[in-house]
Amino acid sequence: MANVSLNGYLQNLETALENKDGMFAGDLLSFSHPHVASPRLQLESPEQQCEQWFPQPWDELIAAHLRCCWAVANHDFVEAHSCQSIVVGAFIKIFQSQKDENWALPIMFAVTLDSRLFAIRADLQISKRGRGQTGDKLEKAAELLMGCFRICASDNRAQPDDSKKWGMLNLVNQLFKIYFKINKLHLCKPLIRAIDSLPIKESFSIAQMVTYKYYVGRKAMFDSDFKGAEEYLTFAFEHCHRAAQQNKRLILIYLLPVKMLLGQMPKQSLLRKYDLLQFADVATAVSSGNLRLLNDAMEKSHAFFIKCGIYLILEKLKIITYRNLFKKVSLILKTHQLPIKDFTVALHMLGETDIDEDEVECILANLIYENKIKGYLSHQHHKLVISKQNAFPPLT
Amino acid sequence: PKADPQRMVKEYQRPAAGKSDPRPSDLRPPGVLLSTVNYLIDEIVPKTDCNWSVVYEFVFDRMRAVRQDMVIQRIEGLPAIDILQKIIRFYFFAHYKMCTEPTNKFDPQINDTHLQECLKRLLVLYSDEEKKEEEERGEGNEGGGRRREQNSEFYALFLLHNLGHSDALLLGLQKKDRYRCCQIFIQCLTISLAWWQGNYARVLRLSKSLPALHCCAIHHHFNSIISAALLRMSCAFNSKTLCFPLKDVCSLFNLNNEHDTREICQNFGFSIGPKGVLFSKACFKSDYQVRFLLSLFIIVILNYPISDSLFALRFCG
Repeated sequence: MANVSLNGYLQNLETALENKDGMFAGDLLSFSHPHVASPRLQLESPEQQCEQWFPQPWDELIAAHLRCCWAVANHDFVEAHSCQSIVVGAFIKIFQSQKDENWALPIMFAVTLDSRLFAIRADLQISKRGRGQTGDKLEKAAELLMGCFRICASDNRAQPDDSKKWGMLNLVNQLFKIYFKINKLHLCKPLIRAIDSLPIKESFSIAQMVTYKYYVGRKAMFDSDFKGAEEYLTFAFEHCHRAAQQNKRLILIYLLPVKMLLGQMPKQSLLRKYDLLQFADVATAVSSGNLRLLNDAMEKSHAFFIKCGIYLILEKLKIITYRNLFKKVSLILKTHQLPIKDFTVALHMLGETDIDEDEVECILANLIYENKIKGYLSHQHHKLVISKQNAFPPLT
Repeated sequence: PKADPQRMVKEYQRPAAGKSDPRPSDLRPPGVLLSTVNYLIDEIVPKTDCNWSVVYEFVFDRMRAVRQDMVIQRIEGLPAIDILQKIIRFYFFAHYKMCTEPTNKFDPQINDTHLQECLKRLLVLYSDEEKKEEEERGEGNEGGGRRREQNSEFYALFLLHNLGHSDALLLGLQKKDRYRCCQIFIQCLTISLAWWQGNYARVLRLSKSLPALHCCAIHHHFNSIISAALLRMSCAFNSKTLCFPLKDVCSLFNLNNEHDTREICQNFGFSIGPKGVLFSKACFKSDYQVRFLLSLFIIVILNYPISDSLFALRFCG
């Protein structure tokens, strides 16, 4: 295939389309297939040949694909992206006119995937050349994906086996990837709702489900729905293929902070296995209430945590760390009436030197409000009075 | 009466369908725009011989026209930065100054929208400049340090304006290395992070030592901070007998006097005993909206005449 002639290629494609062989046709229009390496297919203006072989708008689609091969061979991804947009645009027209059949879904998966990948590289090339808004092309790719999504989602008449709705999850996952990259998380919500209300939502492939739950979990985490996030990310982690170590690591980057917020600390062996030792000191610090260690660990891996987008979530671990420290103080003092002053001293010893008594009261008030401490404060007596039983209830 | 050409300022005109594009001769180049902004800020804003809401309406409109001229000409780089910074200062100041006015005189939402738009545009211009600076590094560019301090001041304003907001915080964290030595930037990042963790006491305490314009920026969060704080305190200090002295509430919340403090606490549903507020979880009225009050401590910092203290470029460090 890497040296296929134009006629040979077009012949193959014609047969695939005639047989409604979506898988093969999808391969023949995908850039992960070797035919794209053939110099005989890398054509600047293949329109005439394509017109002779295919009816409209297939000829338009295929001509744009071949021109895209040419652009990619020249490393011009801005051009490649605009060709691929024509491919997807033509596909949308064809797909819309196909009633009660879904054999073309693999073609959709192939052309939309390439459209997204070229958009990313086009944006990179544009920003390297200087001018131009970054993320412009990627937003265009998202619009095309939405075009496909609308067709799939509105296919209400077909029998379940012939329904285009089977394409929805793939598209949603691609859209998630874009929205997370361009930081427009609010656009995820309608997509999640659309998938949630699908009767076939449990029947998609495991691979698709893992991706989906990974992103929905991350979204829940940013919305501070930590219980939800834990559930989705745990599903993703447990069902992710065991050979996909890198993906499992990615899932853990988000699952670990969520678990820690819910009071479960990771084992060192797990962190070592997935090369995530950045979390080791954080976990130790939180469970022992060691604020100094926490601050140091956060500062040390500052860049990594920010890059992953979890720095702010980890900042919230400070609250858990306070709780654990205060619990220690109460165990040492062995009384139910704890002087605020003693907490202040403990915090000062751990390097939080700019904290005053008002602030300690505020931290305690927050902990009581969130049911992390059972008790009440007396401002005038400068005391925290804790419940005789279970004053520090478990976090989960 | 004849109009004085030295004092006439172009009015804002909404672009509408069917209206032709403005003639090039009607557009003001960057230098003229800057002196227009300077005129508005130096001569009009400090006016005391009329109701200030008239001043606000006038300056707001003319600033909008300035921005429009900038957009049409695609003015970028340092001239655009200089103009935008001044406009932003005006919006922040006006937001504070007008906060007690009724909505027919001052719509905080509209002012906020314009302010946010200008801030975002300013940050884009900053990042263009930062890129340029990185490319030129090593060629010994003078004045970079001054620019840096000025930028840090506006990053700080952005952080306060979007207090505890994750996008703003992330930007702040990304810029932390660059502006590590700028005290005002670090202070505002600390304040915003404190609010992210619900630490109202720290937010309010650190607010007291901010420069004037930054006080104005955080001032319009005070009400939501106070109601969030009272919600937590109503739980934690919930008691039928223990009380919290008014003067302590007053100083915790940076309020002007015990009279205002009493009113706010009562409006939230708490009863006031002879020794102070009786916080009660059951009495707390979560739907009460605190009315905006001018803050004495800000008035003191503002230290009239306002034009000197507010609009003179303020550097930190």
